[in-house]
Amino acid sequence: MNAPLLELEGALDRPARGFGRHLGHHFGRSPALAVGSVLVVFFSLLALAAPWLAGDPNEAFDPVAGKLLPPGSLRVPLELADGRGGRLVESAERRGDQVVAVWRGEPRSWDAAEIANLEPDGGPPPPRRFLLGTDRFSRDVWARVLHGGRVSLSIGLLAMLFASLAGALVGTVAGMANEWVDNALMRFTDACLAIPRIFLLVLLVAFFRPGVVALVLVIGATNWMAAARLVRAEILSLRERSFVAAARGLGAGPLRLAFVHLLPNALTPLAVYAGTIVGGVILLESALSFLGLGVPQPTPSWGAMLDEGGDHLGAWWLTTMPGLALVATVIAFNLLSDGLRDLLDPRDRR
Amino acid sequence: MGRYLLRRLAASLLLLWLVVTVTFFLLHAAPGRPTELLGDFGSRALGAEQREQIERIYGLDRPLPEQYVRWLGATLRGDFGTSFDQRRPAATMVVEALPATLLLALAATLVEYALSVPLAVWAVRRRGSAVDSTVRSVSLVFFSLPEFWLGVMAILLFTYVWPILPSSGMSSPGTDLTGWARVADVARHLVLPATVLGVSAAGGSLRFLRNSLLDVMGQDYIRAARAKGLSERRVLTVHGLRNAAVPATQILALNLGALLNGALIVEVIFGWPGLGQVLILAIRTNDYPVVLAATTLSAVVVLATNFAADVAQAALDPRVRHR
Repeated sequence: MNAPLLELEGALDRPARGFGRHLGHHFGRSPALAVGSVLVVFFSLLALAAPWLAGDPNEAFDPVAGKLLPPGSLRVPLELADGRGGRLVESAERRGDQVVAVWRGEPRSWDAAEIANLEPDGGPPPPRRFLLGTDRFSRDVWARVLHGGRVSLSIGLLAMLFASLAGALVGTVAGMANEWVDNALMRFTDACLAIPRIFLLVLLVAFFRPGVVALVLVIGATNWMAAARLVRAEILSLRERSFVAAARGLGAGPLRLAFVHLLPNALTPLAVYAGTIVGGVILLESALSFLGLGVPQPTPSWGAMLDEGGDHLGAWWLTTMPGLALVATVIAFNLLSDGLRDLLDPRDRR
Repeated sequence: MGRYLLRRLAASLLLLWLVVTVTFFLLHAAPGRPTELLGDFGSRALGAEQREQIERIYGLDRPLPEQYVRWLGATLRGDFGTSFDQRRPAATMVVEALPATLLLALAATLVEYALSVPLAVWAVRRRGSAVDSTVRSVSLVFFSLPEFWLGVMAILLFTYVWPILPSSGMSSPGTDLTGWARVADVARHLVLPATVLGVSAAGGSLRFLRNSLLDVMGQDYIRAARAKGLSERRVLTVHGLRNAAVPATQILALNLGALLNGALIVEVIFGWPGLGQVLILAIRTNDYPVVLAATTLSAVVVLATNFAADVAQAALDPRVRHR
């Protein structure tokens, strides 16, 4: 995890070299940026590795005895043959052609032939630790939290990309076009800013029975406004610069001016802005899922898990664990965004 | 001043028109018709004929532009139509819910500023110290806490583990309290939702207040106040906070939008009978008139606050008027 940081520290010794050096410099000085990026990388790796770190998030282990097990519970997951479902037993051992187990506190035995997942040596499978307990369908909360992270992070990143692209497009057009188009676009942007965001979201989502794509589009559609203003402002200032006049003099058309000369130079603030909205976007996705308007069941998502947990307050881990995962992720992204903002606006850091 | 305010007022009205128009067309562009849900009551499923009849009664069979013009005309006369779901005037349902939402938003604002003003002042007095960086961390954590998780956690802690407060509603059911007893009852119900909403909003305002206080404290008039020999506390609270309040009025207005966002979720969690509850239910049942009335009303509230903030700012800062 330290490798990229060390590289950047090395960059400090090199001669001045634009943004790279700027970034390296700030890694050294802004603990928020350093801690934030390390945490973001760590959480992203956890989410990416979810299938290997935790099994199927939708597997119901034992709908009878496996409901709402507290965190840290240790159970032997027996699987009955012919698809008769699973049994989570407190302990199990092989005796002759029988498997003797303790199920729901009482002794129980099955024919060895009835158990589908015996080890090659005929013994019962190894016990499984339910790190964060199980939910009301006896699904593994740890697996659901990790897989929920995949959903939240991918929707967050994609919506951020979409919002930045849409904002860049509107901003570029407004910045390059004549005053009339510019005014119309900017007033439209203001109108979009004036509707309370969650109203717009709830309205949109209620209409496009959402899957991941719809969520990305809808969340992106409520977050492009600031990016548009930012890019427009950049372009307005850039297009007065002499290198743009030179390019124009060499015969560059408006498209070439926009995509080769102006936008690339407006990219740094746009990237920083994009970094600052990810945390908020993840919160929005969770809020929608919490209201039952997010990714459809049974896909795990933190917001939906919190909502379900609200019906089983006694099983405190159902609300606490996904919430902590969500808050930790958002804090990581907000730390990163704090650090990034320092790059643009050093006023915060006095 | 008059010209400036007139311009702002015209801009607000234009925005309001844009908002309601966008909502109207979004609503009608959506798949799913209001009459679809009417058929969902088991044996009482509606036939195509009855459905058409109902659509005719509510004017839903007309071309969309015609519906829009009719709706806009009726709305301008203050008639928001009748709720499909409850057969009551949509405007009445929404207006009845508004005081609850405003009460919640007001109480949450009090919690928010009770937290953020002292913390911001403290951080600025000890600028650069451990206190300052702790306050910055606290604001980051507050900022990252979603209302819905705080809400569920608050319910878990204060109504389940340690049951001292009611978990939902605005008053105790089955009681008919009057006078102070009723006020106390509502206040008890208000504690959790207002605190949850206030705390999750405090992160943003804490950060903003700290920064604008820092800006103000670098100004010459602060140096002059110090040179007069005023105590640092007096310099900060009388000269600093007062000037930091100018940009804060703008934020207060933006903040109300954010609070309404949050209130929507908090109302759902705590069963608070406000605008958010009404809106969510109306969206779920495709109750067009109520959705439109609720959106219009909240847009009016947000825009009116923005306008009030513009007025306040123009009054506090003469430079604004002459732009």
